[in-house]
Amino acid sequence: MPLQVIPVRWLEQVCRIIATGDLRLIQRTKDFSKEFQKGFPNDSEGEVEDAFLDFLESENPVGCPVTMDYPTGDTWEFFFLFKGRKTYGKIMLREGGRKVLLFSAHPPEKKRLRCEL
Amino acid sequence: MKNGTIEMQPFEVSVPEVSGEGIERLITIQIPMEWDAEIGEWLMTEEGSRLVEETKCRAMGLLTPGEMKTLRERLGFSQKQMGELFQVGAKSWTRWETGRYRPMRVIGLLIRALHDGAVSLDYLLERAGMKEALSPWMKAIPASTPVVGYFNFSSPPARSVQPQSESRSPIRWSKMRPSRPAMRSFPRRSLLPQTKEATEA
Repeated sequence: MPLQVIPVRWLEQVCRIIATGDLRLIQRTKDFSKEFQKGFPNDSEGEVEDAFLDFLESENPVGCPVTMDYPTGDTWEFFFLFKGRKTYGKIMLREGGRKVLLFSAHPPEKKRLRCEL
Repeated sequence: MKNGTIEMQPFEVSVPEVSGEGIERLITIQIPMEWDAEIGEWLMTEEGSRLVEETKCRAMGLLTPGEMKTLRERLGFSQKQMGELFQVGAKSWTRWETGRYRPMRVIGLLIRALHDGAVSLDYLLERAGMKEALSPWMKAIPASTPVVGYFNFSSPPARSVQPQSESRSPIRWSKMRPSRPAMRSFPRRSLLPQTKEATEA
């Protein structure tokens, strides 16, 4: 399966929530913060949220849908640029589009996303 | 475990090298985290994030976001004025006080120097071209007077200029990223529903 264009509706909802900067709506897993710090010790999470927005608001951003064991949201993974470096990102839109959960923002561990041929 | 349970959990804070590239050391601290039963993972809490940021700032020799706010309030400056004092963007100081962004190390050290009295407020005001614009009381500050020497940090500043109202209000995260929509004009035109008029146009 090739990379897919991330659906506009998902993009719209995720961007709208991230743009608020409201931490009640933007959840982060422990691993998100831990791995982000490891990969980018000198940078802050606010900056990576800006980078998420820059990528998600670009023309037709692509990624892979992620099927998880807990399918109560739509999750996408993608590569984006952060401080000029290729970075792996994974975000879930949950609770009916009211919140986002940031799973990952760190240097890639694999060269390709799971849906790339 | 019940969803929403909050417990202290260990967290490794990565302290960057001076170059900013690698990790100088790891500091393990205990921070409150929230259990999300749905995904089976711990989530960061606001308090936890604040503790992580404070630990990192202290390890880097920088002021914590809370200390930056205290410094500003004791100077009686608005966030915008602090941005002007350090000659950074209008929103930069606001963002730094939230703890969601951190100043570049060199700026952070300059802020620390002002806090510690290693550089005078008078000098910074002059360099920023703010001295003339401020009220007469500020002009009366002797040159090279350090902030910690001039102001009594154990009590509110006895001055005619009061901290602006924004410093008394609770921080609203939704206003912390105000410059972003203007820069990117969200929602993007291509994401908006196409009206018949727009399509025809």
